[in-house]
Amino acid sequence: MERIIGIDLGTTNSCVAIVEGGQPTVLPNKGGYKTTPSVIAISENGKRLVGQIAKRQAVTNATNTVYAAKRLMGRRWDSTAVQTMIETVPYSLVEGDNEDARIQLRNRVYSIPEISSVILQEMRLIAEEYTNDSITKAVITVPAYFNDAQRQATRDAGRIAGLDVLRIINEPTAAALSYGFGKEIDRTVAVYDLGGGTFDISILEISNGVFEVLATAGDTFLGGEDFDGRIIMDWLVLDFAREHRIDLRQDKMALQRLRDAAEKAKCDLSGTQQTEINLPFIISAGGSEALHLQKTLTREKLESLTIDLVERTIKICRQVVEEAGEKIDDVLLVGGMTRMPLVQQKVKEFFGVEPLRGVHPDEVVALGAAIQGAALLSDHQPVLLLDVTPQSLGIMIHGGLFSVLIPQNTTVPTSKSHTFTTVKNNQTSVKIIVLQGEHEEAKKNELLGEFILTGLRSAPKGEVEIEVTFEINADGIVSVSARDPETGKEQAITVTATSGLTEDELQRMMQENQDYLVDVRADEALMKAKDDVQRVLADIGRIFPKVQALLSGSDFGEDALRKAEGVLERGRDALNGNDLESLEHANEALTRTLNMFRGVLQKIG
Amino acid sequence: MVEAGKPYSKVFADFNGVSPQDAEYLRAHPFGYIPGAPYRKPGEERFGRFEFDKRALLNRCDLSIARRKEVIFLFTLLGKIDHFEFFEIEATDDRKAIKKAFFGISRRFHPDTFFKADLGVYKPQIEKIFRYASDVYELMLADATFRETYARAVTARDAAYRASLEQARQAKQDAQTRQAQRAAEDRKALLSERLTQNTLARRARKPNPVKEGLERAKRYYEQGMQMYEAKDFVRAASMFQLAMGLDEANETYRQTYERVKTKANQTKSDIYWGRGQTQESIGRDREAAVLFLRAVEAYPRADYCAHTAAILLKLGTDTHRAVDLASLASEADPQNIDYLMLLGQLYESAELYKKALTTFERALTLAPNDEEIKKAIKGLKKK
Ligand SMILES: Nc1ncnc2c1ncn2[C@@H]1O[C@H](COP(=O)(O)OP(=O)(O)O)[C@@H](O)[C@H]1O
Ligand SMILES: [Mg+2]
Repeated sequence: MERIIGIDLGTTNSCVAIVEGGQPTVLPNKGGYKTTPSVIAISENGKRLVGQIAKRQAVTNATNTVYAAKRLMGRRWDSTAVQTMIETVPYSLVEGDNEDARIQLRNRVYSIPEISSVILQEMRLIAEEYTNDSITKAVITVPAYFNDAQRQATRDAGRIAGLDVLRIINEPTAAALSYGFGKEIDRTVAVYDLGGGTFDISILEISNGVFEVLATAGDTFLGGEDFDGRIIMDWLVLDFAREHRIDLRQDKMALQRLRDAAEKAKCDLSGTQQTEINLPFIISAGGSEALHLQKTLTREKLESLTIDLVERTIKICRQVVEEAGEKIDDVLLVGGMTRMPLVQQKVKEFFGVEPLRGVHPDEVVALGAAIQGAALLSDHQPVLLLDVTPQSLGIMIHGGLFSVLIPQNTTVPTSKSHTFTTVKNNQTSVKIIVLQGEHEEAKKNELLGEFILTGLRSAPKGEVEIEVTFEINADGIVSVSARDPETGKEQAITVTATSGLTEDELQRMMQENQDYLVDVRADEALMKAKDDVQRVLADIGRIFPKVQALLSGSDFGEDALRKAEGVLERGRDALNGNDLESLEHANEALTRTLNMFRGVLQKIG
Repeated sequence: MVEAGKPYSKVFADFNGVSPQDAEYLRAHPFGYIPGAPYRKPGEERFGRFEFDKRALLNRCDLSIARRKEVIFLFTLLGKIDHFEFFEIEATDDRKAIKKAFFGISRRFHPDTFFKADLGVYKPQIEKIFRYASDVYELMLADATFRETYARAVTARDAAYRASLEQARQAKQDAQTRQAQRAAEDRKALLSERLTQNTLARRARKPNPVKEGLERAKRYYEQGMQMYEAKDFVRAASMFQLAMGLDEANETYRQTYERVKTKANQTKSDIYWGRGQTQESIGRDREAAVLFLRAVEAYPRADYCAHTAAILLKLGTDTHRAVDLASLASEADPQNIDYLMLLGQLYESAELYKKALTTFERALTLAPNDEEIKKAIKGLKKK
């Protein structure tokens, strides 16, 4: 059977799962962890680093380490999201060819889908390692609020990583899916997702294996990082300044170490009442003297530093529950931050039910994606997702206003047609501007695309009609086409939002990635061959003196020894070079010599 | 494009029975249309009178025939039947039911359900059905005024429809009653006419009882002959007897009767005999004796008579009848020693010793060495 993986491409961490024998399972990475930090870096020698390794070296290589790239997905260069990021991230953002944001690492500029594709590819490799099979199909999750451009960018990232993305689904829906999978339930469920950088709350209805999203909301700038920030800014930095009159924020390196330490302390406090923060040589105090940071953080203190952040999430919950207008039967906790006891307590207080924590909060989304993937490919769908449009879709009309054609929260797939008329006499072309968002003013919404319809009949204004059809498919991806009902002429214009990449660019990136993978694989093969040769050389070296003692003296023995020396010589030469073939030859010859030596020892020695 | 089934006839005007205000509101509203009558008549199953085009059902695709039918049916009637019929729910059902119904439709028509499948020509139809369903569903859930107005209108329409059905039924029934009444009257008139005619005819006809009797006798005789041929002698005999009574002068009837009578009696006798034997075999001698007596009355076969006499002797009742029967048997078969012995014993038990002695002695002349006879004579002489 065809294998399909589910990927939770998170802001902070990513996770991959697969359905095996009807059972969804999360796959561990090489380090044995079920989640992988969504961090990538380019090392000094131009190598790509992903996950834990990339995160660990961030302190020493901050400008070439990318985290939270998801925040930039499908964003235009001039968007607030990008402009805020420019000021806060250590890596450098540059404007791309298509008004998109790109990242410069060492001497190369990467598009955001490219960066994300590195993580997706890592997920794919984890799955390939696990299944010992090649993986080409995936379902990827995105936040419910992601617009068309952001979804398209995610899809492109998948393509670059060599994945056929069968479906993009919403994270809360995926979480609900993994909760409701295999259960005969009829319930209304709230999915509370507090991750590293974002907060999402969704209300879903589950009935008969059908999952329907009723309402969804969130805050894209509220997450674990803000909790870390409170520890750093409101406590560590403040106290340090009070004590030593030094502002630790001035030192990038120190700040990064503080960030890591704060996060670790926060995580520890989910299990214990207090923890040590220990950062020796945090900063130099002028001259050769260095200062250390050593403090004890209690859970109580952490809670008092962050309670208002938790309250903010509850306030959003209240709005959404009101909007959905349904009694909530269950609450599902998703995201690493929901491990924090204070979060659990506040959620329980608000909803009045014990939140479900049977599953790991940082794995449920990937599990749900895998379940959806398996469902799509199975003959008898055990589950069906009824997703809704994240944002309203419409066009710009006279006076710069936004006219909504497909409102927010419409079940997808859907399509709506609208008839426009010309506004000028003898107008032969019309420009249609497609927008997505909730603002009345057209320009305050996200521009999806624009196209010009030409070849209209020349007639007085208002007499020519154009029927424009807007369509959103099950992925939430939009296309627009136009038709002249009078002539029946289908202008067959289909606008699909771009992720900021043109098809050519996409093709090039896919190729480059392929090449890179081939290079990496060749490198790995070379390394392995060298390891092998080195090991055999060492084995021979260990018994060589003994064998030499036994063999020297006889003509035959001397001859054998001479030959062996030759083999060893060639082996060492191969080791210095980078030729896979000669390494393999050397390995073969060396292994024969080793076996011969062992035989000699056994017989004579 | 798949050909539609037969278009369903339109007897009722659109919005039939709907209040003018509601009709006006709904006419102006997208998805507000209400057909004049429900598509399914009461008691009709899901696809009602829908006729499927066989060729349309055979288009190549991965769907089962049942699914194809569903697609063709819903697609053809899309926008032509009311939303409640489309969702297969009642106008009185609440939001929850609408939701449930929509989930059901989704399970069957959402594109994800067919992710792998080749839908052939049905693909655009399925897409249209799902979109239609979700549009209606969202409208019904989101717009309470619309939902209520629509439900009220459909309820009114249904009431009007039912009323017109009832009216039609009543009219039909009245017509039937009237027709039945007319038929009854016609029948009565016909009958009385026939009666008068019969009376007239009877009066005009001269009665002739003799001729009638002879004719009946002849009929009985013929029936009797048929029964005779079927070997039903008992009933044949009674037929001939009837014929004989009605036509006493007829020799043929009498001779035939005589000839059949014996056979009939033999048959009767055998039947009684058989039943008597059954009774005897289970030890009910008294009941057996009654049946045996009937048998010998019907036809006195020597062995039947002897056996009946013996059983009467055993029971010690009706000795005289027994003596008669035993003598009858012995007369019929004078050489039979057993019969003579039986007769002798009966005489003896009736204390007619002399007669008994003569009988035993006659037996002895037939079997001079029989020890039993000698013993009987010796016993008798003592008395
Ligand atoms: N045991 C824990 N206690 C508190 N916070 C935790 C714990 N484990 C992880 N986190 C926090 O959860 C966040 C990551 O959550 P995750 O769901 O993986 O993020 P995302 O969905 O944004 O990728 C980080 O801020 C991390 O510090
Ligand atoms: Mg997440």
